[in-house]
Amino acid sequence: MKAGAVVAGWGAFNAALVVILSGYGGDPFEWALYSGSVMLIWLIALTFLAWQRREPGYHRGSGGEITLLVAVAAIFVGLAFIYGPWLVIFAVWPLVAAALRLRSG
Amino acid sequence: MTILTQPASAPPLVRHGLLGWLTSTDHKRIGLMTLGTALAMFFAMGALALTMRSQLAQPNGHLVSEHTYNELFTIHGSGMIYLAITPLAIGLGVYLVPLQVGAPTIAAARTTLLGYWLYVVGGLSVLSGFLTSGGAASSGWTAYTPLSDTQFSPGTGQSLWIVGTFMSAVAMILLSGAVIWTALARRAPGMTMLRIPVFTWSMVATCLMVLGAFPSLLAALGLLGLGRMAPSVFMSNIWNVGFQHLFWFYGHPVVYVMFFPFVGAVAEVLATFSGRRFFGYSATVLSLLAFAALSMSVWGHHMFTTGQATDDYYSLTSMLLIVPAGIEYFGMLGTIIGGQLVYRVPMLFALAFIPQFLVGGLTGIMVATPVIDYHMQDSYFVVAHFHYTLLAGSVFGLFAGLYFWFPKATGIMLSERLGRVHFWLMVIGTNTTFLPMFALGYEGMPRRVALYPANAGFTTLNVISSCGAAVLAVAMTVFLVNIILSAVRRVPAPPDPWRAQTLEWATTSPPPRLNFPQGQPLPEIASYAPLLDLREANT
Repeated sequence: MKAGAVVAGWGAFNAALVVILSGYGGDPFEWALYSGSVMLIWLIALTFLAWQRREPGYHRGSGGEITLLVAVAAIFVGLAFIYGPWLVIFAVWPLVAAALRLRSG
Repeated sequence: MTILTQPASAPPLVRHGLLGWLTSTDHKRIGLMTLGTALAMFFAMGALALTMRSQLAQPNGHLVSEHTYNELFTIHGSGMIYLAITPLAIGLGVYLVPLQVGAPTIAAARTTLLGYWLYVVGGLSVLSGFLTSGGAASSGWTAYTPLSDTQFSPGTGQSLWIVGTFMSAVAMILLSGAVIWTALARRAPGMTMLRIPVFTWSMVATCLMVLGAFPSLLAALGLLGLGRMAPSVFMSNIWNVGFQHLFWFYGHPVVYVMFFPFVGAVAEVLATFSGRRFFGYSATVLSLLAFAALSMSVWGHHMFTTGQATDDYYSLTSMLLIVPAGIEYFGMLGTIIGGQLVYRVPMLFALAFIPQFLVGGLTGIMVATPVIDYHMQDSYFVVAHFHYTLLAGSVFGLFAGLYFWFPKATGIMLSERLGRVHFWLMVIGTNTTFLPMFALGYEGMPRRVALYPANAGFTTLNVISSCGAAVLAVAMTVFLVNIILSAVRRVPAPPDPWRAQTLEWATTSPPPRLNFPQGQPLPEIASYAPLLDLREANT
């Protein structure tokens, strides 16, 4: 059993269930929703198969601060939906800082 | 012997102190932080439930207002699902999957850490609704329209809930992506797909469901947010029903996300404390994958009473769930029958999981039958059903796993005596709280009500249920005391205190930064129970 085949096969099982749903005359919204999910699963399977050809990298354990900065940015982006788009300005700075840290390695 | 492939380059950077933990890309630290945060959420949401049960302990209770009660059940339900049980399930995978497949690190470590932080930010956003003038969200964990629109849920509490839930859903997708990538692509030499431990298989199935279903929640929440900014969106009934489809396409698989990892944990515990390998491994693996796929196809059974779902199809697929569930039960029972059972605390929780989860599963089949669902919809029967699934099932599986892997993660043993007290209080409290709810629902008590009249005939069963909730609160306190006392006493845990079977027990307790001591060979991986193979070869 290959790893990529597990994901693709799981998507195929779901695709069969979509076909059965269409046989029962489900609403187009229902099978479009379910088909979209199957497509997503197959996309993941394809990505995995493509990635598998590359040598897996090894992460040394640095760069954890970058994720904290991105999380801080996410707070401001989220709050901007509630309190106004001007809050996005505050998300820019941590994102720039994260990008700079990422670039400097 | 298989030599573990370790990176030959520079050693990993290890920071000490609080900042070291907060910015660590070590999957074990991220896993423990996720589990710790989710346990804190679990206790907070449990406190909300206790308040609700206190309110319902007498007819026409006045402990909290009706609006506050709406906030309590909304944050209790959504907090347990989005912020407690799902992160506990996936956090367990973040900690254990790399160890079980013999990997030195998790794939996409920074993405994993970002997942944790988005989860924290999301959780704080949801809870911060309590600090706003209008209070927290109060439209239920489903946030149906028009209850959740600006007319019926004015103020920022509901908006904070939407943003927070969105972030925590993104977080779970990131964490799941990293876990499944590790299981599929970072396995040690010799660890073929059919040598992966049952727990890791349960995580693979769980992560497939997360990746397939959680984007639908993001779409649903996006629609909800759009509706609050432009109310005309929900003027069309297409989007009211569309929201329900989007929501339940996530809402059913998430229940499986919340118990699959614990089925895996129970399988590991049963095999270890029965002294034999898990029975029917291949059939169980296939049934886990089939179970997960079928779980994606049953969402419409939550919408029978809307008249907007294909009843025959969803009823059929819901019935089909019995087949993989039966195979898994067959595997669990086949493992313990004839085994040399050792009744340690993890085993007690695992054994209790079997019949209690069965009650949750069988009543699930009942409410997935349209004619019964029309009677039970929105009644306490449904509340009893999903609490048997999630508390009597998932949480018992969680505690089986926590007691089992606590020595591995911390290097110290938990008290066996306090663990037994915790277990028996949990069994008594769970069944006293939720068994009466089946009868309450059957007799017509609707869910999500803050008050019920004295002459409705609901009083006695509600009092019994509330007493059970108090016992559960004591049980959780005993668990906390056990952790604190064990941390003070610090009885050291050996690498393998249980004579377990999988690779995580082949390293120190707690494991080093790169999981396995560098240069030390891993046991040969010839099956899904390599340590048992080793013991059998030596006897």
